[in-house]
Amino acid sequence: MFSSPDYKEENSLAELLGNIEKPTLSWNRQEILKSKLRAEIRRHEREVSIEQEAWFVVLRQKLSEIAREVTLPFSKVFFLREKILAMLPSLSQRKNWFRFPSIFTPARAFAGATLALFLVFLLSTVFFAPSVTRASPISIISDLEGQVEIVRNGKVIPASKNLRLKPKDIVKTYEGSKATIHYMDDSLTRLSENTELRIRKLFVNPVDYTRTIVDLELINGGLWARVLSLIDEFSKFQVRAENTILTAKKRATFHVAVAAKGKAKVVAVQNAVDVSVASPKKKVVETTLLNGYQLDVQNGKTTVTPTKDTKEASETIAQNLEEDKVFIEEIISRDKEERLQKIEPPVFPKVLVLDELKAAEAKLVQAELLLDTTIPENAGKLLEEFDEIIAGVSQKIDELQKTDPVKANQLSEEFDRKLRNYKKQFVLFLPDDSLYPLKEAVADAELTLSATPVEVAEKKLEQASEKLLEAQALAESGKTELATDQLQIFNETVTEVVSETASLEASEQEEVVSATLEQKVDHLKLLEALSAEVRLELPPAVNAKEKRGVTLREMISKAKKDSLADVGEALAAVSASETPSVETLKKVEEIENLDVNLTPVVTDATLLQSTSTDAVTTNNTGGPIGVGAIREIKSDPFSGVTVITIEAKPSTVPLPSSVKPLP
Amino acid sequence: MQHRSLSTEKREIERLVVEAQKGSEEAFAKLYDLFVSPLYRYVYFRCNGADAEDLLTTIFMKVWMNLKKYRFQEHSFSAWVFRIAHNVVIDFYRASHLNQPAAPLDENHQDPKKENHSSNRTEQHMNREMLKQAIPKLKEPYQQIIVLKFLNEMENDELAEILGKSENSLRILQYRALRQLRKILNEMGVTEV
Repeated sequence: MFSSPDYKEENSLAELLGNIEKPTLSWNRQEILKSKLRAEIRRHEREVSIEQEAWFVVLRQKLSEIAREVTLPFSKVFFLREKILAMLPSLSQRKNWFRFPSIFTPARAFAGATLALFLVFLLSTVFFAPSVTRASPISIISDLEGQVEIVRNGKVIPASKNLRLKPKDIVKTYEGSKATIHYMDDSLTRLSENTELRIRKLFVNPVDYTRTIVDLELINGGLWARVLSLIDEFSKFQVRAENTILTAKKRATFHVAVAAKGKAKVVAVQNAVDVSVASPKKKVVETTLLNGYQLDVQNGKTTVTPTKDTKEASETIAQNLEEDKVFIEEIISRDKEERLQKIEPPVFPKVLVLDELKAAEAKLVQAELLLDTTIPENAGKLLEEFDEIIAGVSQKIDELQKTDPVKANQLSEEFDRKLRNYKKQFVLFLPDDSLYPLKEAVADAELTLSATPVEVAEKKLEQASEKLLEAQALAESGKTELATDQLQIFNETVTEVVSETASLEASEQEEVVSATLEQKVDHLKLLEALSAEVRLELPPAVNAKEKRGVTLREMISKAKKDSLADVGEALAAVSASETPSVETLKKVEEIENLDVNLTPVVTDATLLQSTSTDAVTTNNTGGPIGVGAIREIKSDPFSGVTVITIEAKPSTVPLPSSVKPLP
Repeated sequence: MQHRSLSTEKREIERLVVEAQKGSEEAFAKLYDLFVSPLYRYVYFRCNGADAEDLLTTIFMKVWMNLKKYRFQEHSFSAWVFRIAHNVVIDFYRASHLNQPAAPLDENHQDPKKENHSSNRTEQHMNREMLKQAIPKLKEPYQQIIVLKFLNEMENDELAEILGKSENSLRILQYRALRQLRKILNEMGVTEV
């Protein structure tokens, strides 16, 4: 039987609930709420109804009209399109390796931000030295074959590819083995078999990686050295072999071998190498070895002869040059990759002067991408913008100089460092390369940012040297017409510097003359190297006037002649106002004593005369003039005319048999 | 190209995006043609005009680099592109120390300086320069609404996606944005609206 349920408990609960006081809104609260709701409804209605209001219609109409006005001109749309499309191949599309379903979800943004903050914290505490933006360049074994060993702190380590080398290391190759070393300055040596090389010094300026010194000692065997892209007078690549020290600056290629105790042989393959040999009597012989010649040293005695043109030697040189080409391509491509990383810079409003630097760099990189496209003229526009930014920066630095010279100098140095970095990267570009305008843009920027007339003159003279190196490289590849053009620019630049000197104050004049004389040594060596190149590469022209090579030869002769004339004129400028300083006279002496051993035979001394009003003239018409000895600087106290006598120095070294005297 | 036609060409855009995702630069060039003008207007009114082209370049580069992450099912392509543009503009301001956008005005803002009051100013005509000065004074979402909706004529559904709002609340926001813009323009001496 079922009994009816007993709901007594439920009933008493219901009664209890019925007696509890119900929460009710007070009349006042109800009224407040009601009025709030009414206000909201009215507001909503008003907002919706404003569509009918006149101002609303006018404003919308005005906005539409203005929107139609705001358009990019077609030319800019097109230019931007080209620019962006040119960049695409270098910008990899990111895959979804870190997949969040949507970029709009706040939780994801939060998670991303947290992760980013954590990573920044981690990296900042563990890995980053705050002032270092890029790893300092290092020297490595870039390639090897067979057994190669490194002796480090007395221990022998088997060498491997990419092994970092340190100062005091000794690299050893054995029979049948060889090794290639890529130095931090982008120079290279290839060690032959049975070679022992001590690394004496590897110096990199910690704040400017373009300033470097490599100092090596060849103990045994032989090596091929390729110096690619040193850009200033400070940087050098040095190899010691027995009692001989070989110093390459800027660009040079040479081979050096130590055959036995006290016996070394150096072959200059490209440009020139400064050589200094200590004889047993502790007398130092200094000379410059030009391409196409070799120096034999035996117990301190030096002999310079044209390179012996054996089949084996030619093959070795050809093979090394071929391998160098691959190396150079790798360097160029690595630098390009580094520049392209700047392609996505955070876009800064240009508030700080350094923001301008970033903007300028971005323009340069974008221009680079466009130079290889079908419409390279768009790159020109970007380079113009680059110029404008640099000009603006220069002005700002000048203004800052008045209020905060320390800051102004820091900024100036920072810009200079950046530009030097680009200069090093662009140094191998030649006038027929598509990227050559970048090199010129950086050169112009250097001039724009130069603070004083003396700095401008120094930069111009450095740039003139670069033109000679370009002419050399062009002549090597048979592009004599372009080489001639570069020589022409060299001449014009140096003449410009000298003529601008006249308008400077006396103290500045002295400084410019000093810089001119310093660069003159470099210029004369480079001109001699170029002469050697032309003599070796170009057959003597039968019909001189019709051959392009002759034009180049004539231009070289003119450049040498003018070069000496410039020395005279520059000295005359100083002498006219005051007596040249001891330092200036020392530099004159340096030029006087300059021994480029392979100057073409000039049997008759050639006299050059310069006055303070005229450029130096010569009685030698068209013939080559070697490095001259400045015999006399006379100043006539009555007429105020300074006469400088320069005597061309005859060479003691015979010309190679394949070389005929220049016309 | 007007943005209204963009919405009618969604299929074409989808096709181009798929091709561009596979690496087609030609397809990307067509997407560029479609979006360059509205994006230019977007950055023009929100940043210094001198930087507009740099910002555009950055936006297109980011679009290209992130294209493979884009999914049709989640958002319309133009909403996605303008979201990137928005982030680039925000980055632009964040990176600045001095060029911060003018502080947005609140609803009841009154210019404390008497000389800025409309009654004390010469009457001005509304033009793009005036508008360019006025827009940065708006609150951030109002800026977006004015530029995307009234200058670029974007559809409400796309705008709602970009701002993360419902279409209903977007409608109210639009009125408020316009009303605040009017107020600022009036204070600048523009009386025609």
